[in-house]
Amino acid sequence: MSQMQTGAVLDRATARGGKYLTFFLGDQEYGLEILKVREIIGMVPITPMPRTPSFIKGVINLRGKVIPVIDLRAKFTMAAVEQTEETCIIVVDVNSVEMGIVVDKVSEVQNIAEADISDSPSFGVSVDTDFILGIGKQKGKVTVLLDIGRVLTDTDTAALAHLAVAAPTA
Amino acid sequence: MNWLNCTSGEMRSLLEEISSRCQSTERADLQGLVALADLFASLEQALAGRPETTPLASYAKAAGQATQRIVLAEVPDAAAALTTLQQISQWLAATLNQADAPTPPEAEVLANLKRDSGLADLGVGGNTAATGSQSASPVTLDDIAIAISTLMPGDTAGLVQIKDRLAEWLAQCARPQSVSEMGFSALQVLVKIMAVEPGESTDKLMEMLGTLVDGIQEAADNPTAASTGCPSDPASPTASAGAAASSDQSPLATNNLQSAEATSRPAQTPASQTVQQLADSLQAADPALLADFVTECLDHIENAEASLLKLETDPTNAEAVNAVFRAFHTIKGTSAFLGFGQLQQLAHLAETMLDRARSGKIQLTGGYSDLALEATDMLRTLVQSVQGSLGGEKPVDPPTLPHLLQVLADPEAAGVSAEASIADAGLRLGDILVAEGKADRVAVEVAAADQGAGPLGEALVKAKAASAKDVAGAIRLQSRLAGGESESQSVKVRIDRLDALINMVGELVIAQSMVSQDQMVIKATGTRLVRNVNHAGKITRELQDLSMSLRMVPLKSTFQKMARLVRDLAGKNGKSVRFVPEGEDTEIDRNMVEVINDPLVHMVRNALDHGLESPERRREAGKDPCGTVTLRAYHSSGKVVIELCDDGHGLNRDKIIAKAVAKGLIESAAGLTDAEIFDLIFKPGFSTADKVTEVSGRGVGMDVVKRGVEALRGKIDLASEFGRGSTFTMRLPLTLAIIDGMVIRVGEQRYIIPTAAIHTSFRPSDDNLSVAVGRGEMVMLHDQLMPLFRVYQAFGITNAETDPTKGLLLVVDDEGRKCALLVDDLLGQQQVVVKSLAGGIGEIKGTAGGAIMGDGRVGLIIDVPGFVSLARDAVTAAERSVRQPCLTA
Repeated sequence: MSQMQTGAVLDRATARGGKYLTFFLGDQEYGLEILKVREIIGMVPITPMPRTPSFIKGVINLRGKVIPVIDLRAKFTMAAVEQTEETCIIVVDVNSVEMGIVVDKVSEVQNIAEADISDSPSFGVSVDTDFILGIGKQKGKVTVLLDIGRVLTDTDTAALAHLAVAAPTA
Repeated sequence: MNWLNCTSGEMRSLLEEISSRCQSTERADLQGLVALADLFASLEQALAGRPETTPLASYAKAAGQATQRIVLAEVPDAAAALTTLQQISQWLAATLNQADAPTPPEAEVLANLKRDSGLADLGVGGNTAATGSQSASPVTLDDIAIAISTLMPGDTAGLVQIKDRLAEWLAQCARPQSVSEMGFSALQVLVKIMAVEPGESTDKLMEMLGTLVDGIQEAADNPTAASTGCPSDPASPTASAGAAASSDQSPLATNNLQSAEATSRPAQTPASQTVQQLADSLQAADPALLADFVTECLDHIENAEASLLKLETDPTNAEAVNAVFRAFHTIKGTSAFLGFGQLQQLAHLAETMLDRARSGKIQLTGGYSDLALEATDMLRTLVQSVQGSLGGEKPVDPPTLPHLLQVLADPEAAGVSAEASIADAGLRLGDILVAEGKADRVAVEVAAADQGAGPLGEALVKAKAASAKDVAGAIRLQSRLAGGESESQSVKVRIDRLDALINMVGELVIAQSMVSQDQMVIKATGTRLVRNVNHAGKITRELQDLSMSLRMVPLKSTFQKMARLVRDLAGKNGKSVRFVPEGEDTEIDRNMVEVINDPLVHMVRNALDHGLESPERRREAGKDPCGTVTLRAYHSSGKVVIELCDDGHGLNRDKIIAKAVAKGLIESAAGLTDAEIFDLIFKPGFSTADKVTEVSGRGVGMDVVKRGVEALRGKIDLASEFGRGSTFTMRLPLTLAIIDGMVIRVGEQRYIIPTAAIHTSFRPSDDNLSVAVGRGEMVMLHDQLMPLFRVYQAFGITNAETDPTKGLLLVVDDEGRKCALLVDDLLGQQQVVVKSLAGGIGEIKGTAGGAIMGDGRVGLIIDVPGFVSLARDAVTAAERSVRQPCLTA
């Protein structure tokens, strides 16, 4: 476990350059490490899960497997939008657990060099930017590179654990 | 015409070889003769393979038979016969080289052959290969094996008969070379046995013969293994041994001698194998090889255990003894190869003892049987230690091993005997016949009294007590009951692959139904499209059935464990018990097999400890001193039913009542039915045993069983008659992966509730509904008041029906208490495959997983107890928030 973590730290420090799948939420472009992406599927009916935080859209059937789907807009506290033709689900692999994330539009696969990635700016102690791998700058565009593992697990599992405890008394 | 040339070339070279062999081979060179016979057989095959040479095949066949007769020493002048054979081969060669075909000296040659070989009828027509045997029906290997196993020492007539039968079997049809080689080796051994001076021991030779016939049987059943004869393949050690046995100093014989020597040796060599050595061997060997070794050994151990248990009821079952022997033998060989000295030594000593059992010197009952089982257990411990070491565990040195080795080396010195033998259980042939109404009890008894040394079946037929057909049928039934059925072949597949396959098939079914339900297909006018879609649908359904059956395994291994448990417990309690397994082949999901084990163990322990009386008590009660425990499994209306019956003293109603009253479970027995009273034993803390014993009586028993069974969505019932015995009946679902669910609608959402949890559904009227202060809503059904929970409220669903009189109430069972759930509608009953909500979300209270519905969407399965506690909390919370403002106001 500790080995894995040091590995991750090492990755973050040195090898951020590489291929990223970029997508849009609103006007902002985000990037996901390509190796974490399993597949991209169009919107399918999502079964809502009762008593879960709002950013958990529900579960879908991915060829016989039931996987959870996260609404990234809700997760980033952005206003919900109407589903369009371009709305789709990116299936990612987070610590060998498959999860879907709903995004407005998938853009492209970009090769971003290490030199073009800068660390996420510090907004002070109270703002947690841990889930941001870095900021990619290319051709005048700014892409927020996400550490999807941190986006989806850290806070969510904490929230879910909290939910499980809090639910009976809520 | 290359092929023709090629085959005729092959024939020619065959003939040349035959010709030279005929010259060089002498009467005494049995191996050479066997090879010659084989050459003739190959020639016959080659000749029969081509239409223009087919007529010649019968000559080759006749020549082959003549050779066999030489082998059997039935030909008076072997030298002359060999010359004739050479002549025949030369003539055949000439006929094949049609360029200078001489006048076929057919008549002359054949006459010579007839005279020299003493063959009564050469059967040039090719089909009358009959030798001296009287039986008209084709001889099977089993007949021969039976004849050998029942052969009495000094019975020369029997020997001749066996020899004839074996020869006939060999002549019946073409078989792989290795098999016929072994057959001929067996023939030679027979000839040698007959040649042995009267009074001299033929045990060793008989043993070799037995081994050979076993080998042939094995090889005939499994031709590929025999034909490759791979020496590293431990499953067929006899295949190579058989061929080797034909020389006088065969390795097999030497092996036996060695093992005989070794028997005396281990006593001086104590188990000095240290853990260090195990570690060394582990380092030296390839982990993959070791993993295979472990699996293989565990398989063998299981087989050996099964056979040993079979011997419990049928101590004379030679096949079972052989099976045990083979298992130990193989383990010995492999562990020696891998350098596991301890294992090898143990297996060797056990093998030596089993060898004595095989030769009939001891019978594997009582103490010997215990010892063999102990050895099996120790083998398992050692193999598991190897397995553990693979996973990095520290190898252990079982403390009891040296003692066991010592006992095994000389069981008699350690006071082991066959004495403690449990009475001959198992179904007897006569009983079967009488039960089937095929024979008269008196006639059977008379025949049995006169049967003498021969088997009962024979005596019955002779005495005309039953027809041969019925006897044969009964014997087959008997061996089937004894579990003598042949195993079907199987391959090992990784579970994750199997699960993935089953998943994909499930998806295929959904995708297929989407296609067939598509408007374009439904409205299609082209019959071809419709037909193709239907065809694909049919295949998909079959595939689905097949994929579901992949998960199913027979209950056999579970039953075996129980058989072992019964045996051990009976020994400990000093009770004599007959264990009757029925329906071992009943299949059940492989996940279930593991989980039903615990409840079953509890039940078996109960039956042995509380159920069955001691032999003395049974005798006093006028019952058979040997008790019977029947474990029965069968499928009934989509469920697996497992019954455990004992013919013990049954449940004592008064005792239970007294106990229940003392424990405060009931106030009095008034108005309680037997079933209700018996149900009390499923209550926690209830035990009717007078004293606490090693196995049961601590008050944790039947409640554990009941909870275990209910956790599997099963039911357990109990029927009992005082003095006559009890029957526990478990009804379990076939699989845990599929549940029967009721699909309900709440708002726009669909959920699945396990049908087993639902009592009834109804639409209440306003009069039925009431609100209890502080306890939420209640509803009255059949004068029973129960809480009402609104699903939409608990799950936070909008657009749902909020008026109970317009929706539907489902009465569900929440751990014994009834409550009603408000839903919008029932959509129907459906079997669904339970899928865990894969990681990431974790456990969601009130749900028990997801299921893929017919349209490919996910439906959530409601976990009733979880949901009820959730809903109850929601109600309490709501009450509080309602009351709060009141207080502040």
